[in-house]
Amino acid sequence: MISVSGLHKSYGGTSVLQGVDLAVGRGETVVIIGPSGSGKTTLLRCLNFLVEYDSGQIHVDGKLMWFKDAACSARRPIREIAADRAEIGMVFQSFNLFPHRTVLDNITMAPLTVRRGSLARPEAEREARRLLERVGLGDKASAHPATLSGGQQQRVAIARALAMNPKVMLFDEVTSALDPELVDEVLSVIRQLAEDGMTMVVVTHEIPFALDVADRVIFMDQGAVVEEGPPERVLLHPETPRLKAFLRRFIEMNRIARRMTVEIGAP
Amino acid sequence: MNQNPRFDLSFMLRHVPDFGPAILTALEVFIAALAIALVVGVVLALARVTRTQLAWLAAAYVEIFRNTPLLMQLYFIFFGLPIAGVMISPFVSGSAAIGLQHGAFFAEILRGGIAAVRRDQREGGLALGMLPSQVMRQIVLPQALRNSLPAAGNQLVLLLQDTSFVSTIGIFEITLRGQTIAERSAASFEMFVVVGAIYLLLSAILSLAARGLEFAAAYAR
Repeated sequence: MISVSGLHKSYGGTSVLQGVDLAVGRGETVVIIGPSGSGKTTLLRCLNFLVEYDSGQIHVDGKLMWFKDAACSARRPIREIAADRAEIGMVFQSFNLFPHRTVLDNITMAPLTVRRGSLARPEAEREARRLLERVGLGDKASAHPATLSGGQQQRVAIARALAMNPKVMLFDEVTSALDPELVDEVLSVIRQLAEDGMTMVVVTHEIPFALDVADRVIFMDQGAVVEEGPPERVLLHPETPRLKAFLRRFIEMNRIARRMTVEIGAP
Repeated sequence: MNQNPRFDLSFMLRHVPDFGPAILTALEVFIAALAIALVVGVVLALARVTRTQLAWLAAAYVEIFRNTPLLMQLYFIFFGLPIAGVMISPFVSGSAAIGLQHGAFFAEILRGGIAAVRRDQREGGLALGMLPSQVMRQIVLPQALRNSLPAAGNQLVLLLQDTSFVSTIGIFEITLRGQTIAERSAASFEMFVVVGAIYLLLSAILSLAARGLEFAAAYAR
Protein backbone atom coordinates (compact mmCIF):
# COMPACT_ATOMS: atom_id res chain seq x y z
CA MET A 1 0.00 0.00 0.00
CA ILE A 2 2.82 2.38 0.90
CA SER A 3 6.33 2.08 -0.38
CA VAL A 4 9.05 4.54 0.44
CA SER A 5 12.52 4.36 -0.98
CA GLY A 6 15.64 6.38 -0.35
CA LEU A 7 13.87 9.23 1.39
CA HIS A 8 16.16 12.10 2.32
CA LYS A 9 15.33 15.30 4.12
CA SER A 10 17.50 17.89 5.77
CA TYR A 11 16.73 21.19 7.45
CA GLY A 12 19.52 23.65 6.86
CA GLY A 13 22.61 21.56 7.44
CA THR A 14 20.88 19.01 9.68
CA SER A 15 20.00 15.73 8.03
CA VAL A 16 16.75 14.41 9.49
CA LEU A 17 16.05 11.53 7.12
CA GLN A 18 19.03 9.74 5.63
CA GLY A 19 17.67 7.36 3.04
CA VAL A 20 14.63 5.75 4.62
CA ASP A 21 13.05 2.70 3.00
CA LEU A 22 9.67 1.52 4.16
CA ALA A 23 6.97 -0.78 2.88
CA VAL A 24 3.51 -1.13 4.35
CA GLY A 25 1.16 -3.79 3.04
CA ARG A 26 -2.58 -3.43 2.65
CA GLY A 27 -4.31 -3.80 6.00
CA GLU A 28 -1.01 -3.85 7.82
CA THR A 29 -0.33 -1.92 11.04
CA VAL A 30 3.23 -0.70 11.21
CA VAL A 31 4.42 0.90 14.42
CA ILE A 32 7.44 3.20 14.34
CA ILE A 33 9.38 3.72 17.55
CA GLY A 34 12.54 5.62 18.27
CA PRO A 35 14.03 8.42 20.35
CA SER A 36 12.92 11.98 19.70
CA GLY A 37 14.81 13.51 16.80
CA SER A 38 15.06 10.15 15.06
CA GLY A 39 12.95 11.37 12.12
CA LYS A 40 9.74 9.41 12.85
CA THR A 41 7.47 12.43 12.69
CA THR A 42 9.25 13.90 9.67
CA LEU A 43 8.78 10.59 7.85
CA LEU A 44 5.03 10.64 8.51
CA ARG A 45 4.78 14.27 7.45
CA CYS A 46 6.60 13.50 4.20
CA LEU A 47 3.99 10.85 3.41
CA ASN A 48 1.37 13.59 3.59
CA PHE A 49 3.41 16.35 1.87
CA LEU A 50 3.33 18.45 5.00
CA VAL A 51 7.11 18.28 4.65
CA GLU A 52 8.75 18.57 1.25
CA TYR A 53 11.46 15.91 1.11
CA ASP A 54 14.74 16.45 -0.72
CA SER A 55 14.96 13.16 -2.59
CA GLY A 56 13.51 9.69 -2.70
CA GLN A 57 10.21 8.24 -3.84
CA ILE A 58 6.90 7.55 -2.17
CA HIS A 59 4.19 5.37 -3.70
CA VAL A 60 0.77 5.03 -2.16
CA ASP A 61 -1.50 2.37 -3.61
CA GLY A 62 0.80 2.06 -6.60
CA LYS A 63 0.66 5.77 -7.39
CA LEU A 64 3.76 7.93 -7.26
CA MET A 65 3.32 10.78 -4.81
CA TRP A 66 5.32 13.83 -5.74
CA PHE A 67 5.24 17.58 -5.27
CA LYS A 68 8.24 18.66 -7.27
CA ASP A 69 9.77 17.12 -10.37
CA ALA A 70 13.42 16.44 -9.61
CA ALA A 71 14.42 16.76 -13.27
CA CYS A 72 12.91 20.12 -14.19
CA SER A 73 11.92 21.23 -10.68
CA ALA A 74 8.39 21.95 -11.89
CA ARG A 75 5.98 22.06 -8.99
CA ARG A 76 2.95 19.83 -8.99
CA PRO A 77 -0.41 21.65 -8.99
CA ILE A 78 -1.68 22.13 -5.45
CA ARG A 79 -5.02 20.58 -6.44
CA GLU A 80 -3.38 17.27 -7.23
CA ILE A 81 -1.44 17.29 -3.98
CA ALA A 82 -4.64 18.04 -2.06
CA ALA A 83 -6.40 15.18 -3.82
CA ASP A 84 -3.63 12.79 -2.74
CA ARG A 85 -3.72 14.08 0.82
CA ALA A 86 -7.45 13.41 0.95
CA GLU A 87 -6.70 9.70 0.59
CA ILE A 88 -4.28 9.69 3.50
CA GLY A 89 -5.77 10.31 6.94
CA MET A 90 -3.55 11.92 9.55
CA VAL A 91 -4.00 12.34 13.28
CA PHE A 92 -1.73 14.75 15.13
CA GLN A 93 -0.22 14.87 18.58
CA SER A 94 -2.03 18.15 19.30
CA PHE A 95 -5.44 17.03 17.87
CA ASN A 96 -5.74 20.17 15.68
CA LEU A 97 -9.51 20.28 15.95
CA PHE A 98 -11.10 23.50 14.68
CA PRO A 99 -12.15 25.38 17.84
CA HIS A 100 -14.69 27.61 16.08
CA ARG A 101 -16.85 24.74 14.86
CA THR A 102 -18.82 21.99 16.57
CA VAL A 103 -17.63 18.41 16.68
CA LEU A 104 -20.05 17.51 13.87
CA ASP A 105 -18.84 20.44 11.72
CA ASN A 106 -15.24 19.43 12.36
CA ILE A 107 -15.99 16.05 10.84
CA THR A 108 -18.15 17.19 7.91
CA MET A 109 -16.12 20.25 6.90
CA ALA A 110 -13.53 18.52 4.72
CA PRO A 111 -15.89 16.03 3.01
CA LEU A 112 -18.38 18.83 2.24
CA THR A 113 -15.60 21.05 0.92
CA VAL A 114 -13.56 18.53 -1.03
CA ARG A 115 -16.52 16.58 -2.42
CA ARG A 116 -18.70 19.61 -2.99
CA GLY A 117 -21.33 18.81 -5.55
CA SER A 118 -21.29 15.06 -5.06
CA LEU A 119 -21.93 14.94 -1.31
CA ALA A 120 -25.06 16.35 0.33
CA ARG A 121 -24.99 17.73 3.86
CA PRO A 122 -27.52 15.27 5.36
CA GLU A 123 -25.49 12.39 3.99
CA ALA A 124 -22.23 13.84 5.34
CA GLU A 125 -23.81 14.38 8.74
CA ARG A 126 -25.20 10.87 8.85
CA GLU A 127 -21.74 9.51 8.13
CA ALA A 128 -20.21 11.83 10.75
CA ARG A 129 -22.64 10.60 13.41
CA ARG A 130 -21.88 7.01 12.48
CA LEU A 131 -18.17 7.70 12.91
CA LEU A 132 -18.78 9.44 16.23
CA GLU A 133 -20.62 6.33 17.41
CA ARG A 134 -17.68 4.27 16.27
CA VAL A 135 -15.24 6.24 18.43
CA GLY A 136 -17.68 6.20 21.33
CA LEU A 137 -18.77 9.86 21.18
CA GLY A 138 -22.24 9.60 19.70
CA ASP A 139 -23.56 12.16 22.19
CA LYS A 140 -20.97 14.87 21.46
CA ALA A 141 -21.99 15.93 17.94
CA SER A 142 -23.03 19.45 18.91
CA ALA A 143 -20.29 20.03 21.50
CA HIS A 144 -17.42 22.44 20.91
CA PRO A 145 -13.94 20.88 20.93
CA ALA A 146 -12.72 22.90 23.90
CA THR A 147 -15.43 21.40 26.11
CA LEU A 148 -14.06 17.89 25.54
CA SER A 149 -11.25 16.09 27.33
CA GLY A 150 -8.00 15.47 25.46
CA GLY A 151 -8.90 11.85 24.89
CA GLN A 152 -12.29 12.78 23.50
CA GLN A 153 -10.76 15.45 21.27
CA GLN A 154 -8.30 12.95 19.88
CA ARG A 155 -11.10 10.47 19.17
CA VAL A 156 -12.98 13.23 17.30
CA ALA A 157 -9.78 13.88 15.32
CA ILE A 158 -9.67 10.20 14.37
CA ALA A 159 -13.32 10.31 13.29
CA ARG A 160 -12.58 13.47 11.30
CA ALA A 161 -9.75 11.77 9.43
CA LEU A 162 -11.88 8.68 8.78
CA ALA A 163 -14.64 10.83 7.29
CA MET A 164 -12.53 11.31 4.17
CA ASN A 165 -12.58 7.53 3.78
CA PRO A 166 -8.78 7.32 3.51
CA LYS A 167 -6.83 4.36 2.22
CA VAL A 168 -4.18 4.83 4.88
CA MET A 169 -4.14 6.33 8.36
CA LEU A 170 -1.09 8.00 9.86
CA PHE A 171 -0.89 8.51 13.62
CA ASP A 172 1.75 10.91 14.90
CA GLU A 173 2.32 10.35 18.62
CA VAL A 174 -1.38 10.76 19.16
CA THR A 175 -1.29 9.92 22.87
CA SER A 176 1.78 11.97 23.80
CA ALA A 177 -0.21 15.06 24.76
CA LEU A 178 -2.75 13.13 26.82
CA ASP A 179 -3.02 12.60 30.54
CA PRO A 180 -2.08 8.99 31.29
CA GLU A 181 -5.62 7.95 32.21
CA LEU A 182 -6.91 9.12 28.80
CA VAL A 183 -4.39 7.19 26.72
CA ASP A 184 -6.25 3.88 26.69
CA GLU A 185 -9.49 5.21 25.21
CA VAL A 186 -7.57 6.51 22.19
CA LEU A 187 -5.42 3.40 21.81
CA SER A 188 -8.48 1.16 21.89
CA VAL A 189 -9.98 3.11 18.96
CA ILE A 190 -6.75 2.57 17.01
CA ARG A 191 -6.72 -1.10 18.00
CA GLN A 192 -10.27 -1.44 16.69
CA LEU A 193 -9.23 0.16 13.39
CA ALA A 194 -6.38 -2.35 13.10
CA GLU A 195 -8.81 -5.21 13.62
CA ASP A 196 -11.08 -3.73 10.95
CA GLY A 197 -8.20 -4.00 8.50
CA MET A 198 -7.22 -0.33 8.09
CA THR A 199 -3.72 0.22 6.76
CA MET A 200 -1.91 2.24 9.40
CA VAL A 201 1.44 3.77 10.25
CA VAL A 202 1.59 4.57 13.95
CA VAL A 203 4.38 6.59 15.53
CA THR A 204 4.21 6.07 19.27
CA HIS A 205 6.09 5.71 22.53
CA GLU A 206 3.58 3.17 23.84
CA ILE A 207 5.71 0.03 23.71
CA PRO A 208 3.08 -2.36 25.16
CA PHE A 209 0.63 -1.09 22.55
CA ALA A 210 3.18 -1.73 19.80
CA LEU A 211 3.71 -5.25 21.08
CA ASP A 212 -0.01 -5.83 21.13
CA VAL A 213 -1.27 -4.24 17.92
CA ALA A 214 1.61 -3.97 15.44
CA ASP A 215 2.05 -6.41 12.59
CA ARG A 216 5.53 -5.01 12.26
CA VAL A 217 7.68 -2.70 14.36
CA ILE A 218 10.26 -0.32 12.96
CA PHE A 219 12.95 1.23 15.10
CA MET A 220 14.33 4.49 13.74
CA ASP A 221 17.35 6.35 15.01
CA GLN A 222 19.24 9.32 13.55
CA GLY A 223 17.13 9.46 10.43
CA ALA A 224 17.37 5.82 9.39
CA VAL A 225 15.62 2.51 9.99
CA VAL A 226 17.84 0.57 12.38
CA GLU A 227 15.76 -2.54 13.01
CA GLU A 228 12.45 -3.86 11.79
CA GLY A 229 10.47 -7.03 12.10
CA PRO A 230 7.61 -8.70 14.00
CA PRO A 231 6.90 -6.99 17.32
CA GLU A 232 8.08 -9.89 19.50
CA ARG A 233 11.34 -10.11 17.59
CA VAL A 234 12.10 -6.39 17.64
CA LEU A 235 10.81 -5.49 21.09
CA LEU A 236 11.71 -8.63 23.04
CA HIS A 237 14.85 -9.68 21.18
CA PRO A 238 16.50 -6.45 20.00
CA GLU A 239 19.73 -7.02 18.11
CA THR A 240 21.40 -3.64 17.89
CA PRO A 241 22.93 -1.83 20.87
CA ARG A 242 20.97 1.30 19.99
CA LEU A 243 17.59 -0.43 20.22
CA LYS A 244 18.66 -2.20 23.39
CA ALA A 245 19.60 1.15 24.91
CA PHE A 246 16.28 2.65 23.79
CA LEU A 247 14.22 -0.18 25.28
CA ARG A 248 16.12 -0.23 28.57
CA ARG A 249 14.03 2.69 29.81
CA PHE A 250 10.91 0.55 29.48
CA ILE A 251 12.56 -2.32 31.35
CA GLU A 252 13.14 0.13 34.17
CA MET A 253 9.50 1.21 34.04
CA ASN A 254 8.46 -2.40 34.04
CA ARG A 255 10.47 -3.13 37.17
CA ILE A 256 8.55 -0.35 38.89
CA ALA A 257 5.28 -1.71 37.51
CA ARG A 258 6.06 -5.14 38.94
CA ARG A 259 6.73 -3.69 42.37
CA MET A 260 3.50 -1.68 42.16
CA THR A 261 1.60 -4.84 41.31
CA VAL A 262 2.94 -6.42 44.48
CA GLU A 263 2.22 -3.36 46.63
CA ILE A 264 -1.10 -2.19 45.18
CA GLY A 265 -2.46 -5.31 43.54
CA ALA A 266 -2.95 -6.27 39.92
CA PRO A 267 -5.48 -4.24 37.90
CA MET B 1 -23.85 88.15 20.25
CA ASN B 2 -23.18 86.61 23.60
CA GLN B 3 -20.83 88.78 25.65
CA ASN B 4 -21.12 86.85 28.87
CA PRO B 5 -17.75 85.46 30.01
CA ARG B 6 -19.53 82.88 32.20
CA PHE B 7 -20.25 79.37 31.05
CA ASP B 8 -23.60 79.67 29.28
CA LEU B 9 -25.44 76.44 29.92
CA SER B 10 -28.79 77.47 28.44
CA PHE B 11 -27.14 78.61 25.19
CA MET B 12 -25.37 75.30 24.99
CA LEU B 13 -28.50 73.22 25.53
CA ARG B 14 -30.51 75.35 23.13
CA HIS B 15 -28.16 74.47 20.29
CA VAL B 16 -27.94 70.72 20.90
CA PRO B 17 -30.82 69.94 18.46
CA ASP B 18 -28.91 71.81 15.72
CA PHE B 19 -26.49 68.93 15.68
CA GLY B 20 -29.07 66.36 14.54
CA PRO B 21 -28.37 66.52 10.79
CA ALA B 22 -24.64 66.89 11.49
CA ILE B 23 -24.61 63.66 13.49
CA LEU B 24 -26.38 61.89 10.63
CA THR B 25 -23.83 63.21 8.15
CA ALA B 26 -20.97 62.10 10.40
CA LEU B 27 -22.50 58.63 10.64
CA GLU B 28 -22.85 58.47 6.86
CA VAL B 29 -19.17 59.30 6.46
CA PHE B 30 -18.36 56.79 9.20
CA ILE B 31 -20.27 53.96 7.53
CA ALA B 32 -18.95 54.67 4.03
CA ALA B 33 -15.38 54.94 5.33
CA LEU B 34 -15.78 51.80 7.44
CA ALA B 35 -17.04 49.82 4.45
CA ILE B 36 -14.04 50.91 2.42
CA ALA B 37 -11.65 50.26 5.32
CA LEU B 38 -12.96 46.72 5.91
CA VAL B 39 -12.73 45.73 2.26
CA VAL B 40 -9.28 47.26 1.87
CA GLY B 41 -8.17 45.73 5.19
CA VAL B 42 -9.25 42.18 4.33
CA VAL B 43 -7.81 42.35 0.82
CA LEU B 44 -4.48 43.74 2.05
CA ALA B 45 -4.20 41.28 4.93
CA LEU B 46 -4.86 38.33 2.60
CA ALA B 47 -2.39 39.72 0.07
CA ARG B 48 0.24 40.07 2.78
CA VAL B 49 0.00 36.44 3.87
CA THR B 50 0.37 35.07 0.36
CA ARG B 51 3.96 34.53 -0.59
CA THR B 52 3.67 36.36 -3.90
CA GLN B 53 4.49 39.76 -5.37
CA LEU B 54 1.16 40.93 -4.01
CA ALA B 55 2.55 40.73 -0.49
CA TRP B 56 5.11 43.42 -1.33
CA LEU B 57 2.53 45.67 -2.91
CA ALA B 58 0.28 45.33 0.10
CA ALA B 59 3.15 46.01 2.47
CA ALA B 60 4.05 49.14 0.50
CA TYR B 61 0.44 50.33 0.66
CA VAL B 62 0.29 49.82 4.41
CA GLU B 63 3.54 51.68 5.01
CA ILE B 64 2.56 54.64 2.83
CA PHE B 65 -0.94 55.04 4.22
CA ARG B 66 -0.17 54.64 7.88
CA ASN B 67 2.98 56.75 7.80
CA THR B 68 1.43 59.91 6.36
CA PRO B 69 -1.10 62.14 8.13
CA LEU B 70 -4.76 61.62 7.33
CA LEU B 71 -5.24 65.32 6.70
CA MET B 72 -2.57 65.25 4.02
CA GLN B 73 -4.13 62.21 2.38
CA LEU B 74 -7.50 63.91 2.45
CA TYR B 75 -6.14 67.02 0.72
CA PHE B 76 -4.26 64.84 -1.73
CA ILE B 77 -7.52 63.24 -2.82
CA PHE B 78 -9.77 66.28 -2.57
CA PHE B 79 -7.45 68.78 -4.25
CA GLY B 80 -5.22 66.39 -6.18
CA LEU B 81 -7.72 64.25 -8.08
CA PRO B 82 -9.48 67.21 -9.75
CA ILE B 83 -6.08 68.27 -11.14
CA ALA B 84 -5.86 64.80 -12.66
CA GLY B 85 -9.28 65.38 -14.12
CA VAL B 86 -11.22 63.22 -11.65
CA MET B 87 -14.07 65.17 -10.09
CA ILE B 88 -15.45 63.66 -6.90
CA SER B 89 -17.69 65.08 -4.21
CA PRO B 90 -16.42 66.09 -0.76
CA PHE B 91 -18.38 63.18 0.71
CA VAL B 92 -16.68 60.63 -1.52
CA SER B 93 -13.24 62.24 -1.06
CA GLY B 94 -13.64 62.31 2.70
CA SER B 95 -14.97 58.77 3.04
CA ALA B 96 -12.31 57.44 0.67
CA ALA B 97 -9.45 59.17 2.48
CA ILE B 98 -10.52 57.88 5.88
CA GLY B 99 -11.37 54.44 4.49
CA LEU B 100 -8.07 54.06 2.66
CA GLN B 101 -5.97 54.95 5.70
CA HIS B 102 -7.99 52.90 8.16
CA GLY B 103 -7.88 50.04 5.67
CA ALA B 104 -4.13 49.95 6.26
CA PHE B 105 -4.69 49.79 10.01
CA PHE B 106 -7.35 47.09 9.72
CA ALA B 107 -5.00 45.11 7.47
CA GLU B 108 -2.34 45.11 10.18
CA ILE B 109 -4.87 44.10 12.83
CA LEU B 110 -6.13 41.22 10.72
CA ARG B 111 -2.60 40.16 9.78
CA GLY B 112 -1.87 39.86 13.48
CA GLY B 113 -5.08 37.87 13.91
CA ILE B 114 -4.04 35.50 11.14
CA ALA B 115 -0.54 35.10 12.56
CA ALA B 116 -2.08 34.20 15.92
CA VAL B 117 -3.88 31.18 14.45
CA ARG B 118 -1.69 28.21 15.25
CA ARG B 119 0.14 26.68 12.32
CA ASP B 120 -1.23 23.24 13.13
CA GLN B 121 -4.74 24.51 12.41
CA ARG B 122 -3.66 24.97 8.80
CA GLU B 123 -2.02 21.56 8.77
CA GLY B 124 -5.16 19.98 10.17
CA GLY B 125 -7.12 21.29 7.18
CA LEU B 126 -4.46 20.54 4.58
CA ALA B 127 -4.06 16.97 5.82
CA LEU B 128 -7.76 16.43 5.14
CA GLY B 129 -7.25 17.30 1.49
CA MET B 130 -8.53 20.86 1.58
CA LEU B 131 -6.90 23.46 -0.68
CA PRO B 132 -4.91 26.27 0.94
CA SER B 133 -7.59 28.77 -0.13
CA GLN B 134 -10.31 26.62 1.46
CA VAL B 135 -8.26 26.27 4.62
CA MET B 136 -7.84 30.04 4.73
CA ARG B 137 -11.54 30.74 4.26
CA GLN B 138 -13.01 28.08 6.48
CA ILE B 139 -10.42 27.54 9.18
CA VAL B 140 -7.91 30.39 9.47
CA LEU B 141 -9.99 33.49 8.66
CA PRO B 142 -12.91 32.79 11.02
CA GLN B 143 -10.48 32.36 13.88
CA ALA B 144 -8.35 35.31 12.75
CA LEU B 145 -11.39 37.60 12.67
CA ARG B 146 -12.28 36.62 16.22
CA ASN B 147 -8.69 37.21 17.28
CA SER B 148 -8.85 40.65 15.67
CA LEU B 149 -12.05 41.86 17.29
CA PRO B 150 -10.63 43.60 20.39
CA ALA B 151 -8.11 45.62 18.36
CA ALA B 152 -10.66 46.24 15.59
CA GLY B 153 -13.13 47.64 18.14
CA ASN B 154 -10.49 50.12 19.20
CA GLN B 155 -9.83 51.06 15.59
CA LEU B 156 -13.56 51.57 15.03
CA VAL B 157 -13.62 54.30 17.68
CA LEU B 158 -10.58 55.99 16.13
CA LEU B 159 -12.28 55.87 12.74
CA LEU B 160 -15.37 57.57 14.13
CA GLN B 161 -13.27 60.36 15.59
CA ASP B 162 -11.32 60.78 12.37
CA THR B 163 -14.58 61.70 10.59
CA SER B 164 -13.96 65.14 12.10
CA PHE B 165 -11.25 65.64 9.47
CA VAL B 166 -13.85 66.00 6.71
CA SER B 167 -14.91 69.26 8.36
CA THR B 168 -11.86 70.72 6.62
CA ILE B 169 -13.36 70.10 3.17
CA GLY B 170 -16.71 71.66 4.00
CA ILE B 171 -18.83 68.71 5.03
CA PHE B 172 -21.27 69.77 7.72
CA GLU B 173 -20.63 67.04 10.20
CA ILE B 174 -20.36 67.45 13.97
CA THR B 175 -17.11 69.38 14.16
CA LEU B 176 -17.87 71.88 11.38
CA ARG B 177 -21.39 72.43 12.74
CA GLY B 178 -19.89 73.21 16.15
CA GLN B 179 -17.36 75.56 14.60
CA THR B 180 -19.94 77.57 12.69
CA ILE B 181 -22.24 77.94 15.68
CA ALA B 182 -19.26 78.94 17.80
CA GLU B 183 -18.13 81.53 15.30
CA ARG B 184 -21.58 83.04 15.05
CA SER B 185 -22.02 83.24 18.81
CA ALA B 186 -18.54 83.70 20.24
CA ALA B 187 -19.46 81.01 22.75
CA SER B 188 -16.71 78.76 21.43
CA PHE B 189 -16.04 76.88 24.58
CA GLU B 190 -19.67 75.83 25.13
CA MET B 191 -19.97 74.58 21.57
CA PHE B 192 -16.86 72.48 21.80
CA VAL B 193 -18.14 70.97 25.03
CA VAL B 194 -21.21 69.90 23.05
CA VAL B 195 -19.08 68.59 20.18
CA GLY B 196 -16.88 66.66 22.59
CA ALA B 197 -19.90 65.24 24.40
CA ILE B 198 -21.43 64.04 21.14
CA TYR B 199 -18.21 62.26 20.11
CA LEU B 200 -17.93 60.78 23.59
CA LEU B 201 -21.47 59.47 23.47
CA LEU B 202 -21.18 58.02 19.96
CA SER B 203 -17.81 56.43 20.76
CA ALA B 204 -19.16 54.92 23.95
CA ILE B 205 -22.06 53.35 22.06
CA LEU B 206 -19.64 52.05 19.46
CA SER B 207 -17.30 50.59 22.09
CA LEU B 208 -20.20 48.89 23.74
CA ALA B 209 -21.36 47.43 20.42
CA ALA B 210 -17.84 46.19 19.72
CA ARG B 211 -17.69 44.53 23.12
CA GLY B 212 -21.05 42.93 22.42
CA LEU B 213 -19.77 41.64 19.10
CA GLU B 214 -16.70 40.18 20.79
CA PHE B 215 -18.92 38.45 23.31
CA ALA B 216 -21.28 37.12 20.64
CA ALA B 217 -18.42 35.83 18.50
CA ALA B 218 -16.65 34.04 21.33
CA TYR B 219 -16.89 30.29 21.08
CA ALA B 220 -16.74 27.87 23.94
CA ARG B 221 -13.15 27.69 25.17
